[in-house]
This record gives sequence, C-alpha cells and structure tokens, in this order.
Amino acid sequence: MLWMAWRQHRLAVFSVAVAFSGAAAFFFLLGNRMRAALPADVLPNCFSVASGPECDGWARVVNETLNLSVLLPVLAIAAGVFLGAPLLAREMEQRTHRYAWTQGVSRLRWLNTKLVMLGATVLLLSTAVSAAHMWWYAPAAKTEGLFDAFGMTAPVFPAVCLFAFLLGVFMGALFKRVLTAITLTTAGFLACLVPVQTIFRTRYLPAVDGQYAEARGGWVMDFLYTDGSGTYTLFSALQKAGLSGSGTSFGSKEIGQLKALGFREFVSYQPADRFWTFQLIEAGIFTGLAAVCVALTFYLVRTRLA
Amino acid sequence: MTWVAWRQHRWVFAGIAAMFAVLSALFLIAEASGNGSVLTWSGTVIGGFPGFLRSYEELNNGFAPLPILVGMLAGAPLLAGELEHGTHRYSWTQGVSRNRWLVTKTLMIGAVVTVFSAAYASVHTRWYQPYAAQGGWFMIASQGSLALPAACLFTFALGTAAGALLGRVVPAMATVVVGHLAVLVVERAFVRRNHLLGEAPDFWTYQAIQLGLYAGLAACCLAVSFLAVRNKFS
Repeated sequence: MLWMAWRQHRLAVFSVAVAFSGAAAFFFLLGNRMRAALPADVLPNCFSVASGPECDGWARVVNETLNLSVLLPVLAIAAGVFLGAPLLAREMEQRTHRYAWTQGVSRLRWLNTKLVMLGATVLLLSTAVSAAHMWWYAPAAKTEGLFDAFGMTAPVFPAVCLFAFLLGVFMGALFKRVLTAITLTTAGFLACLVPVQTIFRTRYLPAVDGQYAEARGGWVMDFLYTDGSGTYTLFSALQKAGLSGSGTSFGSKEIGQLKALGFREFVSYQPADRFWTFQLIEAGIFTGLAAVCVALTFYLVRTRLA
Repeated sequence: MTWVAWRQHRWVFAGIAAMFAVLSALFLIAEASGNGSVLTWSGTVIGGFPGFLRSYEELNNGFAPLPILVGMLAGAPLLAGELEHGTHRYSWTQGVSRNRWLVTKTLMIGAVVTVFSAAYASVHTRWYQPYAAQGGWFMIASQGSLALPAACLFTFALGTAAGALLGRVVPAMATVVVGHLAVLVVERAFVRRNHLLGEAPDFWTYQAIQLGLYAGLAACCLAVSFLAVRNKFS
C-alpha cells in the first residue's frame, strides 16, 4: 500500500519537494553568506531598513528578501493544490477509486496510508524551510525582534502547510472534481489565512500600552495620542487639534505640532516575550482546522462516496 | 461556436470577473474611506482599512501572484480539460474546424482576462496616485495599467500552450507557476534593474517595456498552442 501511494503520487511529491527544498536552500545559503561576509557584531544591525554602510549592500538584500517573503504562503498553496486537491478528486473523476476500493485494502486504510505518507512529507519539507529561515533571521532576534518573521517560524509555518494540504484533500472529497477542488482550495486557504494574519493574530492577547522604546523587539500595532481626556489615532488627534490640512501625507512636522499642543504619544504593542506564546496559539488554530478537514474527509469517504 | 465556448467556460468567465471585481471594489472602498491618510514616520503606516491595504502592498508584494491565478484557472484547463477527458475528439469532428474552435476559445477568454485585469489595474493605479510622491511609482510597476493585463494575458497563453502540449490540467498549472515565476525573476532582476540604473527611469516607459515583453511572450505561447492543436494526431 505504501509502495502504491508512492507510485501514484511521486510526480506531485517530487515537484513539491523541489519547490520547498529550493526555498530552504536559498535561506540557508543566504544565512551562511551573511555570516561569512559580516563581522558578528555588525550582522545583527543589518536586518533593519535604517542600517548603515558597514552592512555593505546586505541590507538591500535583506529588505528585498523580506518583501518577497510574504509570497511564501504560495508554498503552502502548492502543497494544497498539487498534493492535496488531486489526491481523492482525480480518483473520483476518473472512477479509479472503484478499482482501488475493491482490492484487499479497506478504503479507510487506503486513505490513512495516503494521508500519513503525504502529510508527513509536507510537515518534513515545511519544517526544513522554517528551520532555514530561522537560521537566516536568528541574528535579528535582539535588534529587530522575531515578529517580522512570524509567519515563517516553526511551528506556525508547518501547521499552515499541513492545513493547506488537508484542506485540498477535503475539497477533493467534497467536490470530486480536480479543477473545482483546486480553485476552492486556493480560495478557502486564503479565506482562512488572511483574516488570521491580519485580524486574529493582533488579538491573541490584549495589547500593552507603553513608550516606543519599551516596545523594542516586540510588535508595534498602533501609534496613539492622548490629551488627558481621550485616546486618538494620529488622524483623529490631528482633527481634534484642528491641524488636519489638505496634505496627503503626514510626517514628523505634524507630530511635533501635536506634541506642542499637549498631546502625548504612546504605542500599543505586543511585548517581545509573547512571541512563542503567539506561535503556539496560531499553530494550534491551524492544527485544529487541519484536524477538522481530516475528520470530514474520513466521514465523506466512509459514508458518502462510492 | 461562441455559445459553446460560453457554455463550456462560463465558470471561468464568472470566476475571473468576480476575482477582479472584488479586488477593484476593495480599492474603491479604500479610496472612498479616506485615501491619502497615511503616516510616514519610521516607516509605520496607520489609518484603518486604507492603511492596511497600503501596508499590505508596500511590505508584502501581496498582489504579485495574481497573474499566476489567472493562468492556472483560465489558461491551463482551456485545452487540457478537453484533452484529458478525450472530448476534443468530439469537438474536432463537428462542422467547426480546429482552428476556428481554438480562435473562438482563446479570443473570448483572452478578452475577458484582458478587460477585467485592465479595469482592476487602472483602479489600482488611480488609487496609488496620492502615495506616488513618497513611495515612488515603481512600487506598483508590476500592477500598472499596462503591465498587469499584459502579464495576465501571458500567463493565460502560457497555460493554454502548456495544456495543449501536456494534455493534462495539473501539470499545465504547475508549468504556469514555474514559468511565470521564472519570467518575473528575469524581469525584476535584469530588465527592471537596468531600466532603473539607466538615464531616465520613467513609470510609463517601463509600463510600455513590460507590455512589449509580456505581449511578445503571450504571442509566442499562442503560436505554440495553434501549432500543437493543428499537428495533434486525433
């Protein structure tokens, strides 16, 4: 059964493995080259936009890499679309599941073997990418804080990839057509990932108020202003002070004017020591979603599909 | 034939139209709810939904994979869907020639892709206008009114050609992903870099360069599809 699962899916496994290994190799080599090129006391300062000439062009490389890093969920989508979605949908579409299910192996064991083999592959590959990314970004832990690399750190990234894969399997079992499953896996994955990243992640624990300097290494969410009677965002504070001009951008000049009028600035932030708690919470969310997908898939295969 | 193409691919029409309509709506809402409310101080951006949208774009290149989605959903299944299921044998033995069959399909879906992506790109470009002074126009170089439709047309043509050659949907989709990423890397690392280092980097000149690059590649892919369909032995 193990051999058959491998034979059936080797092309997809191979393609996905190439994509993940490529990303892992990129971050591993980048980490090595930066460590070789820069002295140990300079290296941690080179992960900031504001780094100086001692970084010798590496700051630009870091900036571009971080800019493109947001595309890394594409790896998770690839696992869902190329490994997950066709897993059951192709058999249903081409009716080969009738053949597979009338052999000596029960359909639940058949499904179990496939899920365990491919799921373990996805976990292994995504953990490798995470590890390489963490190795590259580790020097910035003290200077920049780890929150900039939140989505790429283990256990969150492997959990996200596993969820994408299992969502693909479930969509395939539900719709029984490869193309539909692929489309809805992409849409469904983004519909889960984007709200979690942009809304829930900021609220796992209530944010703390404090001065900008205290928030170092943490995750600054908002700059807020108070005049003693209330709390304002920059825009409402400018309006309250009657400073809202026609300009399309505001800079340190307007902030200086606000402070002269008695407004006090503070930041709302998540402290640096909450990083691993947040990682566990988010990994828990995606593992939970993945478990729901597995349960629904087994239910469909056992009762509905024939 | 027009009606057949519509019936066969109506979900693709609907999907492409819905995707670009939703994206355009996002930017129109952002524009209506306070465009220009952005703070440039130590790189932090604040300001509700518009601020979020802006930070998403600035920090993340979040919209870069759009053409890949178009190529995967509109291009790859166009011919591979029929070849995989063998229904091309039925289509090709009707009164309509293979060539006209292919022309109708590519024209109809290609037009939908181009029109909707162009509409979205122009909404996006207009929305970006107030930020251009600080961020620079090149921030949205890949999303501009000429570059994005051309890139979407290219991925659509690439998916069609890969589908015609491979005859299977999923490998054709993988080809789109790999092919577009390869072109994107070459375009950013060489073409854009050279242009920015050149005498007078200009947004609209570069839009025209991208239009030429992607339209040329799209034409090559379409030619490959036609050859593949013409020479296919049943």
